[in-house]
Amino acid sequence: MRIYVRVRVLGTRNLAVFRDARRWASTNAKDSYEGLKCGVEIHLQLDTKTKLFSNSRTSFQATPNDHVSYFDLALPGSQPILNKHAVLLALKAATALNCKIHRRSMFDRKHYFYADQPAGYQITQYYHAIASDGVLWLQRRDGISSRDKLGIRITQLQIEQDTGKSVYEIDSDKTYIDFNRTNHPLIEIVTAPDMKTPQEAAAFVHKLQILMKHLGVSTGEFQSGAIRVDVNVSTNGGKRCEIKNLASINDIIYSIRAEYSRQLNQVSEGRAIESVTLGWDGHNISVQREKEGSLEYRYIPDPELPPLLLSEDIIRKTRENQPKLPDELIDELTAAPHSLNLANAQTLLSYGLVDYYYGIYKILEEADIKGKNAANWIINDILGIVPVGEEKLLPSVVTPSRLADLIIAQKQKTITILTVSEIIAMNVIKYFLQNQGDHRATAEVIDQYQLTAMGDSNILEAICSNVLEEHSDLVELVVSGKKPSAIKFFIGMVMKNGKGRFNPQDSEATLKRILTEQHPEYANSQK
Amino acid sequence: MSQHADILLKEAKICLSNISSLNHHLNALISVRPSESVLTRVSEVALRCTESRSGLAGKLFAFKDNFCTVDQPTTCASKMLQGYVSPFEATVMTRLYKIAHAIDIGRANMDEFAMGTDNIFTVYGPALNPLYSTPRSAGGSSGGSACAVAAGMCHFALGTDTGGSVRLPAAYCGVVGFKPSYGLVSRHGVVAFAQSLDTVGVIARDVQTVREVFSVISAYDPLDPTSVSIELRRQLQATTARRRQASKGKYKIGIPLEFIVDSCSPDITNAWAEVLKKLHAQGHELYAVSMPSIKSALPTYYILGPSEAASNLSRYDGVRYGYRANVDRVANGVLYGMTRSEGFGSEVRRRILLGNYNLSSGAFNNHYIQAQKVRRKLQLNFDRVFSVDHPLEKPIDRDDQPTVDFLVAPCSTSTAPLLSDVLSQKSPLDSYVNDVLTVPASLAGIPAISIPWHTDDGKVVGIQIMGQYGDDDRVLDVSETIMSL
Repeated sequence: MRIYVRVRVLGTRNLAVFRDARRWASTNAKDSYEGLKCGVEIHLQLDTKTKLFSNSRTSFQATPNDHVSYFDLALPGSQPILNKHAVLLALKAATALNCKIHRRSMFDRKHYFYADQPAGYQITQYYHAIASDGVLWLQRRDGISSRDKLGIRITQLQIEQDTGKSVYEIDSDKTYIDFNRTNHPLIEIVTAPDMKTPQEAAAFVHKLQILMKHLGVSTGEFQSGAIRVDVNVSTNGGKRCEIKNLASINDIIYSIRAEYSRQLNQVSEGRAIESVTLGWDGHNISVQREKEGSLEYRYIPDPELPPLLLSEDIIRKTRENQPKLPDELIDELTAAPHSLNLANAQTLLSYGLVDYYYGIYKILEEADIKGKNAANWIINDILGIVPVGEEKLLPSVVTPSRLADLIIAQKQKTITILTVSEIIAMNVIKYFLQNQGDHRATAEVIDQYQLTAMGDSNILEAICSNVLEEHSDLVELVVSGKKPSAIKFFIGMVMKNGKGRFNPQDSEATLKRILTEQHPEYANSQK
Repeated sequence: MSQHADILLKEAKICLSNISSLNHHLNALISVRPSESVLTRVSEVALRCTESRSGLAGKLFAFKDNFCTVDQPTTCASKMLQGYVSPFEATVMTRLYKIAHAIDIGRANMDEFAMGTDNIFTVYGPALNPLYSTPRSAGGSSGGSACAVAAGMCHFALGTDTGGSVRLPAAYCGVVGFKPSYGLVSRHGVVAFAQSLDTVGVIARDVQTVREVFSVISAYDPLDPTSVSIELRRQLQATTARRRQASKGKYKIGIPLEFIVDSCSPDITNAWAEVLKKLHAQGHELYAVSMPSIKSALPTYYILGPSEAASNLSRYDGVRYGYRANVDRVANGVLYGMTRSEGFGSEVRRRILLGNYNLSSGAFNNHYIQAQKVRRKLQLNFDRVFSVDHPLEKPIDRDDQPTVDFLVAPCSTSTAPLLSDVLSQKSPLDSYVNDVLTVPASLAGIPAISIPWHTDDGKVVGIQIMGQYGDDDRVLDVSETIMSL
């Protein structure tokens, strides 16, 4: 293989939403996993503007090798300058994970040759990490079924550099290297083997994702590589095998299940379990590297990075300024007066929309409207039309007061075309999302939509359907031919609900078309 | 044209003439700027700068081939970096160009990646000692820098000193070589050998020039993570002023007993004795002091230095820059094997092997960790001997032992050896032992200088003066005193 460095434009990738915890929490929950023990090693990309030891920008989809500094390329004479923001994010993460924070930590070099590792070493914290000895508590609602509460111990949390990306071309002996990701700040979180089912491991990773996203430490997305998960698996106290690079919650569950079976089979065939590194392709587990212990990384304390010293003050401030954590917020949201169901509370949280909800809640309550309406609006109506991945823009575009005004307008029937109020409301929201420069008040935009709604056949159709639905008993009489003249009542209702914006002829034609579509026998009665 | 400009031009012409007549033989400079452009630049600077503005304006200097500049290749005298042009400039170069208006005449020869003591491990061929008619070692690793100064090719030169690489060639070539306290001079843009030891040093014919260069390049640099802070610099300045006032030009001089080594030639010990006698005669107090950990300094240095070097040199893989072999991996699948074995010379390969061995999990605790502990002990040994406290450490109890302002000792075990002897050495250890007198100051991070001492029987010997961390200015003071004895 020859290795080339060349710029290549990678295709853009779609971001997908988090999978909902409910979908996998019940996956094969009843299977037995006696003797299974799992620990995880998680790499999280910190959400900083610049890299860990240089001032080039962090990026995800930028043109390859566009965000690269001298140090990122390990040019001779270049030196590392620590990004303090990355340290603060690591500190936030460690605080939320109840870790012991070490006031003095050090950076070490881990050596191995690879083309996407330009210095020939990765700067990490091997001997003295910034934090250790933490715990993250899982509850039943997080997706563990067998226990009420389960503490997953965090053995170490360390700061380190990301590597570059090797891009292999199919049918070619060339490898392309993109150094944009080189030196992106990461934290590595290592747990004790405290998870005893695949579901518990999945629940831990998912909870950690939500927590880190909530804190602004990391986007926590699998799709962009912001989170990378390795799981180590042992059975009945045997040797540990490590499954590398799991790319989704489902992969975590199914790969552990497969590895558990592999280890049981191995033992039942009388063979010893060797400590190996494993790969998972979505269906099968395979051995990638034998004898984990034989790798020689030649760790050395980095001789040009001074010890990382944290003041008591910054540790205390981080603890004091810690926002309410997801568990507390879910407790709040599911309790009176909000009394949201768990799924809605989790959805608000996973999209970072809890404060948004609270903002709208407050305005609605002041207007004597039930504040919890806001949850349905956000989850059922708005999230569906917000482009995937742009949820966090929502609070700044459709601000709490804008959305609250819209809900109030609908409840107070100031959106006058009553039955289509939701359609108009959604149009207003779409308008806001698409015209972020428009700073007009909600009421003005509603007016605009009321006007365009006039004569809109979709709206007429919606009014007609609604009238027919509300008077299904009368529909029966009309369709069966028992009382055909009742159609005039419907026309009258359409005229009324449409505030006279539609003429009787159009109304009658639309009503008759809908009745014919829904009740073919009506066509006969018309002949 | 002013009288000052006349002098500058005249001096520049002498330097250029020395280069053109001597460099092809001495091999001090591996690239030389065209005479016309140097002279044009001198005239420009002379017109713009008055005498008072900077003593270095219009003065010529050479710099070791491990300082990055943007217009010529920075090669560290290695095949590995042939043709490599850095996209950025070392901070010290920028300061010399922009603040001092000094003019560089070219890049100086060196041992590959600064590893060596005789400037023989270089892709450009050895630099020779200008003091002798028969080929003798210029010393290393900054051999080209010392040679250029001694041969009158420039007013001063920059080198780097990791375990003696500025002081030893200065001693061999009969010039002044100063290694400042660790962290005072920025290493940004200086290719690393072993960062916990690397310092930028200055070579000149007199202490005054060294002082002027040092005052320009000693400054806080936010681009160097090991650069000493502005606050600490202020503190050091205040301490220096206080000590100068208190000492009134009379010093307590320490004679470090552990520097009396068997391998020292009579020339060296005689010179040392002469210096001490004269100091005593001048009314300075002499004390014998002992620092037992110095006995372990050499092995400690040869564990820490190569370990860091092995790590730093991992980046030379031929992928992004530098030499690249025709195949990416050797037969057993190890990446870059051919590139690195063809691109690095024998001494660099030897130290990488040594370093990697010490970092391997089997040896790490017994070698690297132990060496770190010994280094720490050695630092404390020095602190106990000096009258003044280390500015970065807690004050220590000195057990009422006599304490001193400075230590005076030889810088090398012999005068410059014959090149033929050096080239026929059987074991690399023969050259490693030359470092025995210079590595203690490197491990302790303290300022150390080698000044030429002309003995009564006509030899030139390098005498080394060491002071407490941050006491650089007074080390230069006492150096001037000794040179005027």
